[in-house]
Amino acid sequence: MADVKDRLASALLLAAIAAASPTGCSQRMPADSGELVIAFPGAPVSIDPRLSTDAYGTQILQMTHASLIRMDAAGNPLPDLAEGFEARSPTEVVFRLRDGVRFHDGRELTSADVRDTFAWILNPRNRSPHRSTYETIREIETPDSRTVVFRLSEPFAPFLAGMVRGIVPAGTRAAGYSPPIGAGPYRVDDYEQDTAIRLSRFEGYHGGAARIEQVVVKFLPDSNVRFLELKKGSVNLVLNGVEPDLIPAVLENGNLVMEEAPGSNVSYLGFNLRDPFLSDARVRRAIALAIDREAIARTLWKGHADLADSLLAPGFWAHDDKIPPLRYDPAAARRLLEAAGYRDPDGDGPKPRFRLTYKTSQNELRRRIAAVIQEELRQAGIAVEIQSLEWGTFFSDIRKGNFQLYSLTWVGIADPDIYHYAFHSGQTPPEGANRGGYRNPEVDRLVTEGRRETSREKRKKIYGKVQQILSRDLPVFPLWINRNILVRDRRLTGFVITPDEDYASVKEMTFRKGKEAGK
Amino acid sequence: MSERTVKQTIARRVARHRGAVAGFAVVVLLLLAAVLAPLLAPFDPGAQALDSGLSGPSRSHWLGQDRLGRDLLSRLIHGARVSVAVGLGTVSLSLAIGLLVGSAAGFFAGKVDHLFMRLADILLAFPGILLAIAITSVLGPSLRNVLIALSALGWVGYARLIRGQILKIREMEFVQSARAVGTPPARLLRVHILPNAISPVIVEATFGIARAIVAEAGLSFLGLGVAPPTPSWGAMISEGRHFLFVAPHLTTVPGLAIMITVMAFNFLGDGLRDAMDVREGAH
Repeated sequence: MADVKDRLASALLLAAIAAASPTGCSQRMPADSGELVIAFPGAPVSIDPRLSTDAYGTQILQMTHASLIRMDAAGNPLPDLAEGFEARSPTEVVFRLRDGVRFHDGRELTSADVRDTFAWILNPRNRSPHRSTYETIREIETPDSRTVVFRLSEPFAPFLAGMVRGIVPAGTRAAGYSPPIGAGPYRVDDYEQDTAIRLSRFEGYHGGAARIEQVVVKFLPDSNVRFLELKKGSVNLVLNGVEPDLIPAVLENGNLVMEEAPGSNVSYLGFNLRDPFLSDARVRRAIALAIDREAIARTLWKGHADLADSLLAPGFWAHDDKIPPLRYDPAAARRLLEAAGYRDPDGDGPKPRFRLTYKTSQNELRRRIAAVIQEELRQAGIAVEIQSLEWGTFFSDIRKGNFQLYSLTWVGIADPDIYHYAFHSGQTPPEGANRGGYRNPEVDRLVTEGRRETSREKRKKIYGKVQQILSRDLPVFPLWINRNILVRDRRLTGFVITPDEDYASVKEMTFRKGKEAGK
Repeated sequence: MSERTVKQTIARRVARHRGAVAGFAVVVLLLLAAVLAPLLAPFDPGAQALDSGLSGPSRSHWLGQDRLGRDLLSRLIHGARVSVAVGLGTVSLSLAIGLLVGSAAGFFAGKVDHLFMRLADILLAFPGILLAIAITSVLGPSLRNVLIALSALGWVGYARLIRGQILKIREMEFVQSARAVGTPPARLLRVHILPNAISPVIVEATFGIARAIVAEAGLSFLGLGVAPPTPSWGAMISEGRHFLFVAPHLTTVPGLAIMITVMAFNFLGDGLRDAMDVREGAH
């Protein structure tokens, strides 16, 4: 009983914090008439909040759509469409919508739109990739136009993280690639697939109209083109789109400045634990010890990366700060391989202890990293064949568990429940993301307990244990977390770099008037 | 003309063709570089020095270092091996298939000819490089698969050329005479027809090597060529293109190597064509 009270109290506290947050009553500032041009290193696949799973689509949606709540950098909920929420019980959450919120076409946003958005995702016929996130929703009730009640079939701690989903008007169909109407700070004027999207300020935005009138997002996959456009001034904001080696050259343009902040996307090396070599934890540890992550972070990332020790970034609330560090130690790696029974047949000679295949995408930087890892493992006596595959083939192989070694980046981890998805023994592909086939009854028990527990303190302890176990077993080897690097026009102010590369703060941006403005 | 004098005449004509001589010289150098790469290269082409990545030319590294600090000159020399292997390998494989198919089509004519030539038409309807991309995407990047991908369409040109030659030659009097005295078909083809049909094929093959080298560079540029860390000129351009503005030598050096090699083969091909031109010989 005390447990339930504890959970309820913490939920109410969150709601109170949320309601007190200042975003709800932002003052109107003098509007800016300028045009902001942002460049993305790729184009979105979908910009329908009910379907989009890609990073670029999500980032556009942060400017065009509003959700019930938003999350801050540490994973704490902030109000957006909902002025507050209350967990009446671990299986019932009530959201109270703000008064007078409107969609871009002037229609009022009501509880029916919220219900319909989630009902659409839950309808199997619509094949939304987000359906599994909301499967614990048993019922959505709308007692009045401003109240939404979610009833869950069982306590599900990651539920709140799932409420960061753009709301669309009731009855909106999925219309191919054209983006549906939203209630965010910017409306879509024109969308040219794979080329650019043109946005203009939505005067009726519930958080106060944005200050810059026009925003254009260009999709520029070529790093040289982004570099040139930035230098020329035809793009004035790029987040994580300038090669680390090119940053000094881009800043030769005195109108540009760079800002840096910690990131949250963890790159990791995945092992296939069904493999006869990699099933041995000593071999996995030896591989980890043979890779000089510090050298890669220092040279290939030019220091714009921090070493990772878990799939969660250090600033995230559930991150365990007491994970023993794993440092580059090639001698220890060789000793471990010997101990595991893999002798080097000819010492420093060309014959390897054994051979492995490393799969990676065709991204140039990833291939470069693969070449470094290949060389470092060669020195430890492991021959590595790099297979650099087209993205679709690569990702499908990884999802099927068809690999020995691979490297990928976890993007957008909003809740530690990721550990259930990625390491529970029942989550092997195709249902889950336990691609390496990791099995540990203790981890199974902990990650199941973690998703049912609603007290954040208790969850933190549970996932702390999970992270400790995984740092010992190494079913994946966390490599590094890239820092977020913003290159912008020096007149632009107001963009807040968040660990998860959120573009929500574009609405707060402005062109500072000053002597540089005339340039 | 005896065979000896024909060869001498061709050699003399090629020697008079300045472009062909220059081309021949470059081709010889290229072959030497490819064969002697481990002796010529100053460094191990795979040896990395991350901290000195992107360095420009220096006394120890004449052409500079790539992003991973690998010696560019050593990679260039070793890269010649891939280019030579793909150039010669693709042409040999294509020629072998083309020779078989073309001879059969030209010699037997009729239904066999019809069948093979329609097959060739169908294959020609594919854009070459796209088919090669599709094949290497499915089979995975490796030297062998590049050879397969480039030969999959490469043989068609040779087959058509040989067929045309045979159709023309088989009606000539000396062939008719050989046939009349009862020469068996295989011998007729081998001794009387093919040797007389081969000149334009040799010229075409020389250009074919150049085309194969460019195609391999293209596939490697797209990451579909030989697997790393084996250096390939196309892959070197691809690796360097992100640093065009800070280390242009990473792309220009292998780019020049491809250009000079392709030009050399084309000049040599031009010279051979002029030298072997039947019409010229008739005067």
